[in-house]
Amino acid sequence: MTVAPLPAKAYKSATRPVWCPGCGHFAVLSAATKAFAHLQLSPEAVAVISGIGCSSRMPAYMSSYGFHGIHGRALPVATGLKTMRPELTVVVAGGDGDGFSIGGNHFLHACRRNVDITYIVMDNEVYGMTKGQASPTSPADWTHGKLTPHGTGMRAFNPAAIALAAGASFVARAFAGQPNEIARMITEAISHRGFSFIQVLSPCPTFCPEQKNWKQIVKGFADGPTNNTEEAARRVHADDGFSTGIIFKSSQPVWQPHLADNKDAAFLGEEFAV
Amino acid sequence: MSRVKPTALNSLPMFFAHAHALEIEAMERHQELADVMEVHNNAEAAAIFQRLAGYGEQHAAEVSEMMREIEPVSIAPWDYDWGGTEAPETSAMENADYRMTSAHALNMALLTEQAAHDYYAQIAARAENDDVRRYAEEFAEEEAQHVQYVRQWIAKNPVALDELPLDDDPAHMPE
Repeated sequence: MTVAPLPAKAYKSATRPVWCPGCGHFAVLSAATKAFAHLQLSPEAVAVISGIGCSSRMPAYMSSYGFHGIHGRALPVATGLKTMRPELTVVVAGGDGDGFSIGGNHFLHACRRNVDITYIVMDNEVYGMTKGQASPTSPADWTHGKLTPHGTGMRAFNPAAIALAAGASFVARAFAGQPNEIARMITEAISHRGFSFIQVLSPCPTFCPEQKNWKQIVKGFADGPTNNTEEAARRVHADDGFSTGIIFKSSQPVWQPHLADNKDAAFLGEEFAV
Repeated sequence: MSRVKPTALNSLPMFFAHAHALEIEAMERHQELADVMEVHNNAEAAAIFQRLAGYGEQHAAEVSEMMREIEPVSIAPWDYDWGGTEAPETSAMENADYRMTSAHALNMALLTEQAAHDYYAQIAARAENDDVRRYAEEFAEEEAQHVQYVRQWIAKNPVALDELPLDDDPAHMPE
């Protein structure tokens, strides 16, 4: 009997997203389901892990396993899961506040550790769930947040540059207005062995309506991915933050601790018994 | 080796793969819009999008039936030849707003039906394969009928499109 391939829709759950109409995160959800369908991943062999924030609701909207954790801690959860269950495809979804501020240190070490997981950050330059505060990627002169009426006065965090400096082996930037391109990048990121990071420019129509203009300024990087860190860093620093594409891809040792055969679930239960 | 992008112009299997994906993508986006409008208590727009999703489902089933005897081809989502970032009949999520009225929703539908018509008309004009040209002309004609249908639908609900209704108590105020 021939088994029909799973369509993208099969990877969506029955839970309806509560994101605002117009939110860029819808494109990432759609892209992730298309990527999973393209790779024909079994939903029970995929775990989507998240922290807190609008984008971190992603696991609820997918039919795979999921873990909606605490703020900024999605990467440690995903690292633990992948190292204990290396056969799973582990994808982490989150936002710029969750990933670069509250979970910023975990981001650095996840890049450095190079565990075989995919991290998708939906970057809208704002804390949306808590109603519009400046995030690490907010422009210095963004004055719409009530806590920063004169702007943050700080240079915005550059996620791709930081990921490169910290040792990520796959770094890409995408735009929510191009969902099929995001699907291609997620597919490549999952297929890449090691820590893969995708920054998705994902407009927030509610707190940053000016981001509607991103569609006019987003363009592709002139060159394809390089495996040269210095060249990738040069491209990222020379860019205005609105070029998309796979920036860097290299083969590096993946961190995977040796699992002792005698450490079963009962052992772990004893270890964590209160 | 140069990579050749699949195109709806090449062959009937390619054409039907594109036609089917076009309807599926339209249906799924309209369903997504219907759901999100319902979540945001906009029953008026939700009803329109739900109806459009129903049409998309029906059209996808019709295309499926037509391609029953045709060898299926598998195309990666990013390899479809849409001439744009998404399939032409897919409403742009970025144009959605929780305050949108049925007029706004229908206007979105009008744009995508027109885009679907233009897509098939272009294939018909450029196709070298006679079968592809014949089906593209047929589908373009059908999409033109949908454009007319949506226009009639809009005419029955003449509401100003200039601005979104004011919300005196928006759910999301910056804090």
